[in-house]
Amino acid sequence: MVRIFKSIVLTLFLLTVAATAAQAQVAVQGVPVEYGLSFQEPATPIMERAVGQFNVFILPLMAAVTVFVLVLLLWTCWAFRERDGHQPGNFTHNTRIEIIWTAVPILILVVMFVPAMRFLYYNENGPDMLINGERGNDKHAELVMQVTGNQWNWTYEYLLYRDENGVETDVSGIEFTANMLPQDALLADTRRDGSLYKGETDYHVVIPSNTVVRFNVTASDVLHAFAMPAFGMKVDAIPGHMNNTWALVNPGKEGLYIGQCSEICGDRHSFMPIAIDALPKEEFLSWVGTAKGELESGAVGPSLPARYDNQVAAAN
Amino acid sequence: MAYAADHAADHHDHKPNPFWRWFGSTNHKDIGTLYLVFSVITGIIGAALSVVMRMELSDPGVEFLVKENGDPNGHFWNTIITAHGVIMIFFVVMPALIGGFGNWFVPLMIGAPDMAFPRMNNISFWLLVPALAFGILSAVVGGGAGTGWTFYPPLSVMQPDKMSVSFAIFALHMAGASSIMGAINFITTILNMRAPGMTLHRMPLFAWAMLVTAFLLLLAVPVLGGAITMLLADNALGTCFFCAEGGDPVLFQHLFWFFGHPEVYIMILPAFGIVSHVVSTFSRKPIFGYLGMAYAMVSIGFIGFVVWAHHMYTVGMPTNVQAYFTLATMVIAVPTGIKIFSWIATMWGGAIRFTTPMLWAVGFIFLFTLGGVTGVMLSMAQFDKTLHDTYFVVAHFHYVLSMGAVFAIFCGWYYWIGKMSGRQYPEWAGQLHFWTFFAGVNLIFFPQHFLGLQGMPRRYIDYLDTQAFYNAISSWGAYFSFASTLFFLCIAIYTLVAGRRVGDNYWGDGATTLEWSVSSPPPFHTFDDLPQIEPEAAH
Repeated sequence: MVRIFKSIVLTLFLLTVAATAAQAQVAVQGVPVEYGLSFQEPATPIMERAVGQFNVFILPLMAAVTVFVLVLLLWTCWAFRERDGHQPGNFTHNTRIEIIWTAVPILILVVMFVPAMRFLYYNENGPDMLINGERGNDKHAELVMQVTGNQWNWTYEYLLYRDENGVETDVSGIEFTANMLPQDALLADTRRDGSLYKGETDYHVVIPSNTVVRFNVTASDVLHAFAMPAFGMKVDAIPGHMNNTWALVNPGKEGLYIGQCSEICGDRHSFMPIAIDALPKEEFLSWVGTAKGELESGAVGPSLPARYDNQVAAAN
Repeated sequence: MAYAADHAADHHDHKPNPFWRWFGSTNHKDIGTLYLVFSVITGIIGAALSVVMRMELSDPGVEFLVKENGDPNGHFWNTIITAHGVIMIFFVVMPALIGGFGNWFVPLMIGAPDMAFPRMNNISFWLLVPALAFGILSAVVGGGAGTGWTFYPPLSVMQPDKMSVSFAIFALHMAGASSIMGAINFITTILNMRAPGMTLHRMPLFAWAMLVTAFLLLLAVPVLGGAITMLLADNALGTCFFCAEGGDPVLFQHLFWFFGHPEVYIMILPAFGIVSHVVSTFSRKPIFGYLGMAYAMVSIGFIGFVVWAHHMYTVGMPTNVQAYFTLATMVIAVPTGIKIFSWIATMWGGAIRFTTPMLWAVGFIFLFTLGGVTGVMLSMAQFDKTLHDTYFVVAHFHYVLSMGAVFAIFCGWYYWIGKMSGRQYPEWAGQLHFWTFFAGVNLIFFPQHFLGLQGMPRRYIDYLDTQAFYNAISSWGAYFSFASTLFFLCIAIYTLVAGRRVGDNYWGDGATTLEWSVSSPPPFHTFDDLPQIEPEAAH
């Protein structure tokens, strides 16, 4: 009896471990959460700064201003309501208070402006400061890829991969177009999270984590915007322009990230999501090898990284 | 003598026959009434469109706006959001605040017999009617113009039927011509036709607001006119101002927002003016810091012209340019803060009566502050990139417009309807309308902050399942607000038909501006004998 009980407990335990492991393998990191009141969990230094600034001073300061005005307004309404025998004043000036309510907002704005500028210039110089303190973006972005917005999908072309030691890996030929996965196809694929309908795409962009990735963004027809909320990344895709932005997915933040087109682009604007897998470098490189082979032999797009299949194997 | 007196009285209230009175009107009060009726009708259309949008967004999945094969009809959706934006901005808020209250009360407040150019005033209004017709055509011809109210190319030159965007451009051309003529009229009237003794520094704040607004219109709308004319040529004649092959799509955005940002102040400055009068009247106190209030509006109007690219932080501008626009945008918060605190200081020490207009004014002050602080958040270029084109932005601009400008429209309506019609609204009904609308619009827009922070892009017909909760709340808020708006229509009709009759100054000694010195409704022609303004009687 005790033995049976023990084995049941053990089985349950193992199943739990297996399930947890499966969950952990392709963690869905960057999606909106139900009842979420604030930003998604930040995955990059840029988004960490945005969320940090928001939590530490932007939201507290602005909430304080709003609550201050609300309380002052309500108190004024209460204290100076019309009552018997109460005569209204007729003063119209008070130099001291006018100086205060001009100067204090200026001070608040200065307090916000300084970190806002540091953040803005960090975005321009960031990858360099993170790698070795030198200027020059391209030199330090290990992966460079081109993103093209189309009505209504995204085309990704891997241009260059050169690791921190200067060793290049050939990524040429990895070029594919990712479309939103229809609901039935999504549900039929056991490797994927069925709740991500409208966020999942047939082919995933795979990028290495802990590495600066540079995205050159353009469009082939109308405006689109390449956006990834958890990366704090949003840049317009404009025909005839080549914009660029960068992302560095923090170590420990590997997983699947979902973004959506963020500039109105026509009929299926709502249905051209962006799905990015951020994986450790080794996994990225092994995916590069597989994907290159698949695409050279005529596949429309690369298969999902090996994690997804391992996850299914582990679950079985 | 008796004959002369009779004749004078007869002349005083001589009205043309009804056809010419309304279709050929040169009377600022009648034209103001036409504008107000027009914006009530368009307001119902614009609000109904928003209810359709919230119905579609009430839960995940596309249920109503589908094609014949059951696929989501995203283009139809885009057409609806475009029509909602264009109608609300150009055909509801501007006609109500500028054409409606502006025409009615600027001449009355400055003691002028009428506007400077009465016939131009007439055509300003009547251009809006074909403009609206073109606007509606743009939404129905060939599937409609699904571009958003910003009409960004290349999408706007690649519509299923090019005619739709051309119609939309004609609508804006006409509405723009109407606005420019209105602006010329207001500037001329205010600068030249003030009653003796009414210097600019004694002029009521609503007239100040209209003066600044008119200058903004005069300088900003022609830029829009140029931009959309170039767009029309791209769309219909095959030119390449904004195409990628030799032109530049971003150029249009710069031109558009050089108009578009002053445009938001065009919508909010008259609101500031109305709220100032209402706060002063019901606190029974003169306005605190009158000159500061006037020049705060002037500086807001001026700075409004140099901040346009904060709508475009993601287009790939140089970092230094983004830094400049961050700084310039933040500066606007200072004069805006002066206005907020001066309103509170006007209430301070007063004897405040919470009638319906005062409730709208207090609601305006608080909700505009809330929309203002989210605006400060969005002014910071790099931070904005996390929220640009999300529902956070939708929440932000609806707090300043649908709770700012629209609250001020209701505020002005309840404040002045007795003056305009001679009949007063039922107080309980006005208050019920305020509280229901206040609750409703906050239910719509407050949860949208959360959706935006979580990353939901705007102009989406559908969203991820995890975003269902706040979208559902937002939709219920929309139904509730729409019911409240229908209730307002009932109040308006009841008031005009059976409202209690009121005297000249039904708000008592807090209401000091000149419109309260004439009867309710005012005679057809006012101030045949110009009033003399004494220094202490000013504003």
